[in-house]
Amino acid sequence: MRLAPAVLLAACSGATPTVGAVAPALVCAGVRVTVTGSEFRPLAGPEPTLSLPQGFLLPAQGEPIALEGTHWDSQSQMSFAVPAGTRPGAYGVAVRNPDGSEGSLAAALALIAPPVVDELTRACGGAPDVEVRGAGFVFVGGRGPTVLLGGASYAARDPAACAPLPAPAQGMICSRFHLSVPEGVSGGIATIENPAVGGCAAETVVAAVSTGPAVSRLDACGGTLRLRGAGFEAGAVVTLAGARVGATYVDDTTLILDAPAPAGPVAVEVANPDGCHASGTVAVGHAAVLGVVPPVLPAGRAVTATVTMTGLDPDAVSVGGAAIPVQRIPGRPSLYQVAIPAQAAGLVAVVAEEPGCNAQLVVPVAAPTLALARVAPRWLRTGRFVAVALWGDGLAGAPTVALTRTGAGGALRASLGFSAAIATGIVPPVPAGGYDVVAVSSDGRVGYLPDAVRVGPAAPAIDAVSPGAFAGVSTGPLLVRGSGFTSASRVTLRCPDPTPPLAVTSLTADALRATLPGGIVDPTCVVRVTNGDPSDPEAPYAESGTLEVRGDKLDPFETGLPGLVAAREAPAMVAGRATGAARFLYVLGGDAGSASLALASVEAAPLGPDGEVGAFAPLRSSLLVPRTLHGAVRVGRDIYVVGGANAGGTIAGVERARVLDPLEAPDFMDVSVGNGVLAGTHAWMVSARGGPDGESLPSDPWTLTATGSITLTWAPMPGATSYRVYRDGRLVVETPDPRATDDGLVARAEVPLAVGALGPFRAAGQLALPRQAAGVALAHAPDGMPYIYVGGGAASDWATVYDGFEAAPVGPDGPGAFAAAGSIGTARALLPAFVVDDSVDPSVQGSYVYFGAGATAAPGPSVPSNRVNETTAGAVGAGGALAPAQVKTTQMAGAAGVASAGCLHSMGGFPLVGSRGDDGCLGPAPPDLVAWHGAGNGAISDGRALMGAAVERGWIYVAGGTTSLALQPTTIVERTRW
Amino acid sequence: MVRALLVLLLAFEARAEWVAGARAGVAFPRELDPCLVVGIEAGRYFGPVGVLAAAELEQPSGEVHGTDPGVGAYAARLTRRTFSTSLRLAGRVELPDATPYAAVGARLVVASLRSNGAAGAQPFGESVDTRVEPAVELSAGARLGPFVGEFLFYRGEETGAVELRVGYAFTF
Repeated sequence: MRLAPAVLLAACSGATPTVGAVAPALVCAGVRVTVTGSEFRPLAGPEPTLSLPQGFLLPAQGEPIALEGTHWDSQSQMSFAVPAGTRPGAYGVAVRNPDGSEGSLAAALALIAPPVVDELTRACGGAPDVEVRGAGFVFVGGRGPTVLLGGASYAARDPAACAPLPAPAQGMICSRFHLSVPEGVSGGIATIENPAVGGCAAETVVAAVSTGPAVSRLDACGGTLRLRGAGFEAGAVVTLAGARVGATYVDDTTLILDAPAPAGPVAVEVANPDGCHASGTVAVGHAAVLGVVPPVLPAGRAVTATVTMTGLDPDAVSVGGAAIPVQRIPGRPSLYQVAIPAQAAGLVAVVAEEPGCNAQLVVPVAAPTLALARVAPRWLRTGRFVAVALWGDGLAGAPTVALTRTGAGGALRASLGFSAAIATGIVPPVPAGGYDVVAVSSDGRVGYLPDAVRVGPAAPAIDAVSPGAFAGVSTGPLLVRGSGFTSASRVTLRCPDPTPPLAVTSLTADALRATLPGGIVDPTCVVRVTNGDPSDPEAPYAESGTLEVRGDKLDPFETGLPGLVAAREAPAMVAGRATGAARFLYVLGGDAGSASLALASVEAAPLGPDGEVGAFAPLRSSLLVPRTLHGAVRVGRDIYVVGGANAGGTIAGVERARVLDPLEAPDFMDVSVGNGVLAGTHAWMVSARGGPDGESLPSDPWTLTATGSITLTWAPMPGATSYRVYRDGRLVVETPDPRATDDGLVARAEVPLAVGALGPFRAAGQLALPRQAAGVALAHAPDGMPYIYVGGGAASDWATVYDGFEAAPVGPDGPGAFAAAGSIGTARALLPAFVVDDSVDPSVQGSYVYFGAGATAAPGPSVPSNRVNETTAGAVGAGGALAPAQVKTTQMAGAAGVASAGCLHSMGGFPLVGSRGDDGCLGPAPPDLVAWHGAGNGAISDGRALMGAAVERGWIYVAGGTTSLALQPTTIVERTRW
Repeated sequence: MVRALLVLLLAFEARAEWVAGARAGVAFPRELDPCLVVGIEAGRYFGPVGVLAAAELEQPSGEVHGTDPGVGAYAARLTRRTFSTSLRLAGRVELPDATPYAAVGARLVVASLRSNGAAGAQPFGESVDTRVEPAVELSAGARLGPFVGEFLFYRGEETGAVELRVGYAFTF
């Protein structure tokens, strides 16, 4: 109920706040600042409510601007976020207590815009001096921006066109400076970071480091010959094949030459009036409209399409007879964005025209028949690559998926159909706003989903939620890890009806803890973090995967999943992510019945958004040596394989391979069309070779309709020694140059790697002792350093079974030296190792490693009578120190083990008693366990041992193993929720 | 509506009576501890309908615990001193042993909230927020001889209370 007048009088009698300083004092919009002073006094109310002091920016003119993301640290310190979009300038800062008293500090904060690079120009003659032109370059105390280009960092010098920074900042803000950049660094993504400025780094695509004039190609069209390049000046003199020709200046990228079109590549020299000149042999390109994304337009829907054109550079194109301005894409001279209005079903011509020259491409327009349901996440943060999943139909294979809204859009990268119903991909950075989605299936059907995605600066993201399952009836802790959390973040459960906001107990930008409310009887829930009012449909939010509401025991394992390609006993299994949405199970090695039949092969299966398992397929990468009874762990993108045995005996070696990143692939930059015979529509991809991870994943396909030879260029990749170009999925050429021409090259058998592929395995150290059937785990020390622990295990002949464990830290270049680190208690092999941390139970602080029950006999009939019923565990200390002590134990050997939702789960094992499984749950003082008890319905479906096991986002997977004491490997794969 | 009310009051003029008194009792505000409430009240009843003016003073206090995204978990000690005056339109039913009544009216509230709390080891410092504002009120209760039990709700822009009161009334 509200009354008017609202408040007749509000009087204050508390202390008046003072503002002493703001840090950093020089920032860009969107960053947090810390305000120090005194008497910042919150006011509690009886409901209970809490009113915090509010911060304001005080511009020289105009109304105060409320700061966001208020966080109170003490009466003398608070922090706030400067609202995105705030205008650059000098600001005072005020703090107003809830009782109305207010203090301020004039000229407390200087706000500037992020730096922008317009052009990099190298001095004539190839000198290392490069002039950078743009805006927002800060120089403080003689230090200027740092520029990261082509993998190297360059310091700015010689600022020019400068003005003083707004008060209170000291220094200059300039629009020009110089760098020393070696010849050969030609362009790419430049990252510019200003000194002493909070949150002000910016990325800019630099098409090329201009060296005065540059020549790129000759466009011949309609009897007119255009020289394309950069840095041309009026009055430039052009020499063609050694003969001077007349040249008419159009703009700094185009000269019209008074000469007939050469038949093929020709030597060209351009000399500007200032004396700078450029020369080179350039191809003669023909005007063509080569492609449109999406390749099929949805009838009745406006779409912002990406059009590939070459040989002309118009300011507008004609679509269905209507002239539409084009928007050039920086750094991609043949790509243009065109806002195409709604078209009727049929065919529509996209016509590009310059004086005396035109080209066109006919594009199909079809009624949307591809049903699209939703995109998750719905809210994406601006300025980032974000992996998404799309639900619909007809999405198998590699559908073309694009975001579109008026004037902006972009195709998803690494688009991959998990099934007919689900595809994944990566949304590139696009401007803020709401977007529709257009998808075109492999068979040419088109779908359209309006208002599918929102992009904004305040969108949160959820990476992981702990626990993955919870008892709904009682309260408990909840941990949400992600990014973009603010003081405005609110947590609710959707079960599916929304709960009231949960009580938040701690909050940082990337982790949020809250209290589960209890009283939930629904079978599943999802966690939603809303940056704003959860009831506001316009508030940005992120949602987790499904959390199961249950007790300690697991649900029954699902059977009937796609099986392994090869039956594998004692394989290792890990889950890995090619992108945040494209996730895979990797099953490595194992054997076909004995160590002498150990396997080196690796297979993988994609996982759907809700943990669905796709078909397994062999990978191109194999282990360096065959291994069985080994272990595997993943650190970031790196998969480490440890120990094991093969026909040669027990193995001490460690090897690793990387889950390849689709974004670490070459980017196509340009295309031109020459004389030739190639015709038809084809899709080209390019990959790089030569780095430590072997061949990269290919670029996204560039689908073009050829009317002659196609010459492609792409951005060079650091470390690449050659590039492979694929046409329609088959290799056509491998070249050391970042360009290739295809005029119907013969396609070879080689195909590009697929998303989910691993790089080659390579040696990554040695265990102190060769071990097979050891327990292998990855845990983090208190300082965050990951350590690999390898405990127990057996020597080659099983006459020696180890009671010790060894450990090694894992850095970015692989593990350090493994060294003996203590005892696991009674000697045993065939034991699982578990790791418990706050990802398993949010109430756990630190990490604990458990070594489970095992045996002293080799896999086979003698295991049941040689079991070691012992579980030992300890906390991971500084430097990875670990001192396992006995805790409650189960009685299985050769079991697969995982930890989830506050419990350890031991699955299968010897003796092969039906579908055996045991759960041991954490007590109040980890690593103590309350007890182990039978898993009941939550056991695996078939009694077996020596399986691989992995946990990925709320699901437990087991694969392979043996179904009998006679050691018969199996292909069975099962899963259950946490 | 007003005319109908005046007609009703005139109809009961023959049975009209002046009332005046003082009250002291205990209020049970939500979230805060019970407190003493004292007040005076005067008015005129026209049969079952009366128009009453009142003034009262109360000062509940208590400790609250909460969580705020900007500070995390916190605890605070509150004291809310409220002086208010009200004008009520009341209706009563005179039964042999009790007189139940209900009232609706307007209230002018002078509320001073004194707060001192802490989040973890960081004290908030004492703050006092004083406001004067109008509110609407609803009440219902019963008198049993001199004893009064009353449920009171009032709400303004920033102030408000839901209270259960029991007390003793002195009638002049």
